[in-house]
Amino acid sequence: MTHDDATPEHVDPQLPEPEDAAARLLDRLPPEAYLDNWTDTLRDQLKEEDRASRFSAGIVRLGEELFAVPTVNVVEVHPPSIIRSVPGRSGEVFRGLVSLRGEVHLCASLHALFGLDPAEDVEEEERRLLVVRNEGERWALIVDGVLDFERFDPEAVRSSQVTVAKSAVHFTDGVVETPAGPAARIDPRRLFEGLTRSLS
Amino acid sequence: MTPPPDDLSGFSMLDLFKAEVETHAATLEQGLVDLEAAPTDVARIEPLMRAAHSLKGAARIVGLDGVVGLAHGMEELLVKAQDGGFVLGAGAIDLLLAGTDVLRKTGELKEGETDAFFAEQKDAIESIIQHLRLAESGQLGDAAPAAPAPVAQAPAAEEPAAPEPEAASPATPEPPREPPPPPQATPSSRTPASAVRIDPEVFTRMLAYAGESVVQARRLAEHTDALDGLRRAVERLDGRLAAARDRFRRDGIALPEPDPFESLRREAEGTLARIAGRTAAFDEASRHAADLAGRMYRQVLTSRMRPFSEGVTHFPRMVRDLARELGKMIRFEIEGRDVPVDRDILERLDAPLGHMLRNACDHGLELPQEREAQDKYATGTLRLEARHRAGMLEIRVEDDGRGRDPEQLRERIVDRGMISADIARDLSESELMEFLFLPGFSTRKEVTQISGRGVGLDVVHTMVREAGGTVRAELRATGGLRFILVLPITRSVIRVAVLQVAGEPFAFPLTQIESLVRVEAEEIRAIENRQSFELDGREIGLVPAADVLGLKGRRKPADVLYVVIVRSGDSEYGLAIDGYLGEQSLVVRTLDARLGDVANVSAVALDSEGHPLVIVDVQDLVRSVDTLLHEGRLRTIRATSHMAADGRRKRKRVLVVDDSITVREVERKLLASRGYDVDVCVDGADAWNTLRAQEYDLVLSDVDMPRMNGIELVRRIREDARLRSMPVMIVSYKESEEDRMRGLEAGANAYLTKSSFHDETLVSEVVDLIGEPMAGDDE
Repeated sequence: MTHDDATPEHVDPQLPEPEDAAARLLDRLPPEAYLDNWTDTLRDQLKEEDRASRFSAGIVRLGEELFAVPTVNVVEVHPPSIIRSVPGRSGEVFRGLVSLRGEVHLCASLHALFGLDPAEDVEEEERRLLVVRNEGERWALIVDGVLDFERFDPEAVRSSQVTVAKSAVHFTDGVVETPAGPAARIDPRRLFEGLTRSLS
Repeated sequence: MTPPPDDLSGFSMLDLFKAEVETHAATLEQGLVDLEAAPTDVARIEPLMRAAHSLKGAARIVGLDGVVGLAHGMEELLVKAQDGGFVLGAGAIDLLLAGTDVLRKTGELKEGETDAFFAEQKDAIESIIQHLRLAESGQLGDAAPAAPAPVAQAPAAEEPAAPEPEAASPATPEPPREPPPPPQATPSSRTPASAVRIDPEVFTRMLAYAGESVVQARRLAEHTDALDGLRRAVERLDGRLAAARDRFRRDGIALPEPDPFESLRREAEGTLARIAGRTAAFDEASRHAADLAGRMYRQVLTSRMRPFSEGVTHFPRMVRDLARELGKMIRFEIEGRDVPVDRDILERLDAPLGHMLRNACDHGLELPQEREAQDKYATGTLRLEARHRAGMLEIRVEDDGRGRDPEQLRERIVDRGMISADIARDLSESELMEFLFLPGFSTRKEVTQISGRGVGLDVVHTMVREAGGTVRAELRATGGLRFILVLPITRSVIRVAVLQVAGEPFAFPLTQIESLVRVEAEEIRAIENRQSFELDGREIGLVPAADVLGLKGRRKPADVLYVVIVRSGDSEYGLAIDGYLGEQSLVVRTLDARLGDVANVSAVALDSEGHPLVIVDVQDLVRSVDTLLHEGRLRTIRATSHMAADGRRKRKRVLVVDDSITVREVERKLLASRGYDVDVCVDGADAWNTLRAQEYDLVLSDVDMPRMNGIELVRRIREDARLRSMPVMIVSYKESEEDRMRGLEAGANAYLTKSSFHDETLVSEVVDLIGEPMAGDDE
């Protein structure tokens, strides 16, 4: 910290006028509330570290329902693209192959995996391909919209599953409150197991 | 200690030893064979000596003491030959080659295998070392050691060896036994650049990005068009300003000074100039980007290429050994060593080339005395040549041996009843040669140990075809036979026909399809529920491509069908497709490993718009058609409206799953006669695949089946979001209450025993579960 070097004991009282002025400038009392401000800022930083225990998730929409996908599992979000079927493999859940930035991804419908009714009122512009990863494995998932990324207090996760469609319960491990309403938190392990099963 | 310049920390000492053995053994093998051809050329010994010396050092470092002595013995013999000026005869070369083989073997050993290997090979190695010493002291004579070399085949020791070149004393005025040497082949002066190891996944991604940048760069050109449109819009605006001013003038309306139109037009023209400047700059930048992307893409692709020589290193040794074994004198020449060839093609070429070379040594080239009697050089010449020609890789294998007698071929073809004598008489030479590649057609009756092995040229033909190429044979004007192989330079890029099937584009490699034809609806004949049409006098079975690929087809009745003709072996089919979309070159990528082996699919690529395009494996597809026809699981094509008899009303569909064909057929007939649309599957896995591709109203399954049993199938159906509500009925031989419970617990809606076939139970149970066959009949 450079201003520490200019504390009074380092200032020679015999200094000529300009240096003296400089010393006095550096030596002046901090403005009112300055220390308080810094204290708050540093305290916020501490809180920030504390937040490591919080989790961040992307909120995606499937028809009427919201789901929270842990941010660590999200790679990127793309606009919809053409999906090409793989003979003998493509079905309701595994839809086929999609190319995103030149990389070919396996593409699945979360609707079908979760056994939800296809959303009817979805704006085509809001449809997204959500690329997720888990232990080096990647999938592109068709969702009806990606709303936002939010941080959650683990304490705030409710186990109540009443708001989640029965068929999707298997893939989730709790419910969090988001500004857009309650969202079921997706368990990445179960999600990927389900996706892998759709290939066999 | 300073760290080594290259980071080799990822490799174990044994890996490094392996790499070293690979390099030096190749040098030794190649060099020894060359040395034998020019035994007085002492300069050729130097690199061999160094190779043996390096191997000795390397073996010592990794503690393979068993071969240190061997390498040492080899080195000593070579040193002696170099210093003492004595010539290494064929026997000594045999020994050195045998030693090389042992060294190479040690390089291939895995950790933990070494002890067993040396215990087994100890005596053989000792014997080689002994003989090396004998050779060194000049006591070996010319014959190979009696002791068999451990790895190489035992050279025929007692047989009089092929005349040694050095035996021909210059004093004896004999006709030359060898053809004049070819123009000095310039030995590749550039040392092969050290190769970089790269993670295949990284390579794939690099290729993906490079390909995508080509697509993106091409897209930039669209913006040039947009800018052009903008320019034209401003031009029009300028024109309208001019027109407006002219009208004011014509109408005699005074304009204020300075003329406001003038300044507006100046402004418009200034804008135009700026746009033009921008457009030109952008155009240049986009062309530059496209050029650069293209170059990068080609470069990435090129990195898969290896010089031809890399795939043929072992052939000189093979030919040399064969010649010795057969008592023939053969000079083997390789040309086009630097010609770049796709790594994958190079690997696939190995077997066919080996076969053709063995063939030439065994059958093509004659014994020295035979040749001399025909006024030929005693030494036959065998050439292997690679070059790029018209965008393809052309490889020639040619010998100056006896060739094939066209008349004999003609006779044989007639003898085998392949064609009539009349037709045979009119066959041209090249047409005759094509018979060489037919299965089971071998012009030699006896199968020799060298090239026979029950493998014919038809196998070469198949292998080359699988690599996407063609092969033909021709007689050389100067005598001898020439094989010409034409292959794609790379398998990374293939030409395909893009065909639409079930509303989606699929790529069919051009080399794998016979032709594309249009068939009028009335040309289609139906025999026993199978459809066919006639093409060039052949009856070709017609099959919907969508069904074979397991795609939910939206087949519309049509007056004209587009059909792609495919063939594999004896099977030939016409696959009905929606249409032909064009031809394209595709960069092949492997399918995602998570998909496993996908039937009928070989790979994937990106089309010109950057979307995935599945590449169909036509050979596999033909096999699938065979299977489907065999099991009667194909539905017919609704060609025209009158053939699409019972129109739009949907019949209820039932899937019957049983590994017994009898049970399957009984169930199918029972339900079909009632009016249901029935498909069959041979086991649970088959059924699971079918269920995911198509919609059914009911599944009827056996319990005990291979691959996936009925209980597991039911469980999967119940876990699947889409299928879980579909009724499933189990039909089993097992009649115990326990079995019944097991089935119902898994989620079956009903459990019947197979005795229920005899009465109406099965059918009435089905009606109870899903209603009458025609939707609506029961409502």
